[in-house]
Amino acid sequence: MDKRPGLIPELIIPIGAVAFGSYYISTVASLPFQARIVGIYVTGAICILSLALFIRFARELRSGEKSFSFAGFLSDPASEGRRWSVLLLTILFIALMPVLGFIVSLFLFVLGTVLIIGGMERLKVALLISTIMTVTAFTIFILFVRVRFPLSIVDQTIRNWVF
Amino acid sequence: MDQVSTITGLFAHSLSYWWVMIPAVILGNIVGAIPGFSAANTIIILLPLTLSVDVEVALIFMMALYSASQVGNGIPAILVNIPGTGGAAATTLDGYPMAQKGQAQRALVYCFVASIFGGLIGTTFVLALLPVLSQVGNYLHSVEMVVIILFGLTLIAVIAAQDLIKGLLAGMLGLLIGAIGTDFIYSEPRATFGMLELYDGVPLVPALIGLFAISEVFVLIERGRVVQDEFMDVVVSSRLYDVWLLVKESLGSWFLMTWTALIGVIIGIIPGAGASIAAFVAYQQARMFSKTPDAFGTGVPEGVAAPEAANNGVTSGTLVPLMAIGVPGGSTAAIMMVVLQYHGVTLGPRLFIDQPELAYGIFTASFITYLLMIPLMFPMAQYMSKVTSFPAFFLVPTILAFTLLGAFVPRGYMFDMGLAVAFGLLGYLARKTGYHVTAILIGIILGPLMEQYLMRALRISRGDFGILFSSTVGNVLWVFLVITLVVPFIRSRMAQRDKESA
Repeated sequence: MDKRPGLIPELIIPIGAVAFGSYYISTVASLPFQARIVGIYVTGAICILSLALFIRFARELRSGEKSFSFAGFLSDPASEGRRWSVLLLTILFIALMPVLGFIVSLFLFVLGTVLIIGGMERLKVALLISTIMTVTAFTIFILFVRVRFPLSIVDQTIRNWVF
Repeated sequence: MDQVSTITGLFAHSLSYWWVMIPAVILGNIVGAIPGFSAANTIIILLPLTLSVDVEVALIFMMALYSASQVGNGIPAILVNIPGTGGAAATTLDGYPMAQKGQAQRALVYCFVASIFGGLIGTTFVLALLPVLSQVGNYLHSVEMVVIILFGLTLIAVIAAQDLIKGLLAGMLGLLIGAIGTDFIYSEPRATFGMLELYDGVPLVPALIGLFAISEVFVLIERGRVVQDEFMDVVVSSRLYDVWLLVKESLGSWFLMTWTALIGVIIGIIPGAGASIAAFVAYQQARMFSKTPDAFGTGVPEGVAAPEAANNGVTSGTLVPLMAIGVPGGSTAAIMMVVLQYHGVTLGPRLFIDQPELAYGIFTASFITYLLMIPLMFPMAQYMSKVTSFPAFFLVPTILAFTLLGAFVPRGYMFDMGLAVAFGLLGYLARKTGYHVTAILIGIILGPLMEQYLMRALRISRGDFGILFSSTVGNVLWVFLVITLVVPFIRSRMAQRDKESA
């Protein structure tokens, strides 16, 4: 198995930066000079730096120092699985909060995250942590600070019951 | 003599409001430690309270809360690599590496000592030189601000020292991200992807949370806990007596704390500038004058002390233009102004003659608040440092939940929570591939400020860049900037030559 570090992950940021710079320039092309100036200079600098990086990467690739792969970027499968699951759960939490409301979505999110990282054998601990955190967050954000989070019927009932 | 006795009397008077200060300090620490919260939005939330009580009580409460929140910002920055505000971002550079090495308690003590010391020095300095300092803002215009912000931006090059191209690219990417949104002169949208939520630019809190907290969470899942396993014993065996020893040790850096606090005061006086600029400039200056500049970024206490002292120097500085000429130096000062005006207080030079107990009282109250923090904060350092030994299954959901909710707070958009996740992915990718996350953040924080002042200067000069060298104060700052950039280079060349000759 090839143990040389992979180059592909290192390419993502410079390629992304050049793409973003190009998009930026396209959005300011018709604007007055003063509104364009930062975009022009910074994108120019990004292109020069990215070019320098690409030349360096090409040399590293040719000398056999690095391989054209993802090697070294991904960790063990168990950790990767947990990481991607937590990311997915986070996206679901944000997407479902307007539907499920503050309490239910937060409770499920914390419960799920603890179980993903700690395993099913920590179910009691997970329930305890998610309950404490939901109550704390509800008290701080909804009752005390009154942040306008999306509230479900459950949240509104509890809030009205407290006040 | 008369003025001295008046101020002495004001100190005693401020002390009598300890019952207002203590809850404000505790609340300030809590809101400072929660990402997304700040003294400004807490005071807004508590407006019904501050408007209903006596003006003096309201003012002391707001001042104590503001000072304590600045101290509180450093706590999550050190323990879990989450700067609650831009001002605390520089603290993570050395604070978090210290926590990873089992020195969280040491980093926290340095943070508290520097904050309190910086706050005390700042208020004393302001009290002593208030009439002179109130004029400083008149000499610092957009040209001078461009140079001051450049001091902060040079930190990108310093951070990038290990891999210059990658570091600079990260910084430039940050600058470009910071330039998203409508421009300052024509209000034309730039690179907003058609999203209305980005018209005001990239919001700082979701960017901070994503780049630091969420990316850190992804790393934590793999690593298991903040502190490295070999340093677990150090964290577990820490005692209260150690705090006292660390306080004595940290006071050895009194000179560094003093002059970085003064940097904070001066930058704080300039309306629009703030803790972010002050902290990065202070860090950069501390590194430049250090005997071991290469150790910065690996976990040196001076890297915690300098930005924290500067942050808390800003607290006093930002109130100088408010009290002296009625122009708020920052968002918190602006809200304080609203409260004071509601109570019928007319801000400006007359205030020092008509109501000296208010004009000077705000600074004496700040001084007393910082003194009250000593017994309130230091015993906590020992317990707070234990956070670094908590397992990932507890820390990860706690950090994720509170930071994502914190990302929502400033603007109330669900979009900002999604943006935090997007920045989290960028931060994680940057960490794993050697592009410095802090360099991206410096670009995001200082980029818009730089553009704003540069645009203003160019607007005045009708596009002539010569305006950047047109003022005496500006030219002096340019000379300092060049010295700042050249001296480390000369020093490293000399050190290399000495090594070769040895």
